[in-house]
Amino acid sequence: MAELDDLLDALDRVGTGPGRPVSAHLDPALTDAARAAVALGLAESVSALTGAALHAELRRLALRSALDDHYARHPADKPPVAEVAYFLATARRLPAVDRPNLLTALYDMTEALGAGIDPETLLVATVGHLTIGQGSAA
Amino acid sequence: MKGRPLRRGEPAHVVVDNEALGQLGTGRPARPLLVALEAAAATGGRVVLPTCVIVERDHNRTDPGAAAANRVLRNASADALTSARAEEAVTLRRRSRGRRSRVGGSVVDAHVVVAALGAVRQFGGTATIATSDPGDITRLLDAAVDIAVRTSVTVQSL
Repeated sequence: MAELDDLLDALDRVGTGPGRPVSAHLDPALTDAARAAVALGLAESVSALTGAALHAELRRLALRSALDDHYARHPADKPPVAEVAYFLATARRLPAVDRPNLLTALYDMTEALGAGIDPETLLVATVGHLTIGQGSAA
Repeated sequence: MKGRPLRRGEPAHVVVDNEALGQLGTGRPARPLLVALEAAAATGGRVVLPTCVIVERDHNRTDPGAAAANRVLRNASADALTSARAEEAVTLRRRSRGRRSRVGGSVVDAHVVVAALGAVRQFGGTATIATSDPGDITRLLDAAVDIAVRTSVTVQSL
């Protein structure tokens, strides 16, 4: 976990020093899109946009890695995907929050099929199921 | 229940209150907090740590021992009580006051709520306040004027 500590140490230092030019190979279309976003006034500069996106993604990866490290030491602590999806439904005030059994049933179905599913996809499947149900009832 | 439209990829931020910080400091957060953190990791949400909570909990973020105890905590973004945040906190406390008190909610609770509102305004998505004091936090949250932002914040009891 020394590498994760190095990552966290570096993230702690973000914003404390002056920027410096770096060389990176980017998809030309991505660069064009970034320039267009700047022209639209959606971002300050391509550098600022690149830095912010990189920072956000590194933070997400660090959190994922820290949680996985925790579960490696405490496997029973890992919450079921359906519980995380239900949390997202509550936070987003989605109708799926009224149907926790449906969420769990759809999760169990994907597990039985041997298809891994993430909380976002499970939530989309549940909301889709509810929407189809409403359409059929109408 | 009629709810908001589904927007895949909305970041689900977690705002850490005193009890949540205590749990993270021990390295064994309870299930509700882990679920919130999993949701943040799944959606690119931030873990937000209001600086007032750091003071109240007497937590030293730079302590090497504490850092080793929980790497999740080291990944948190500190939310400073800037003058703009303080002004909003004052407004929330005044608007949420009860009949007998001049102001409602503690300074720390008010900062926690404005940090959550600020995370939604700055980064979009939703914010969940992980707290052992849902009553006071909810009263302060209900005093927020901007309904669209307010309804993007939920309170999770630990």
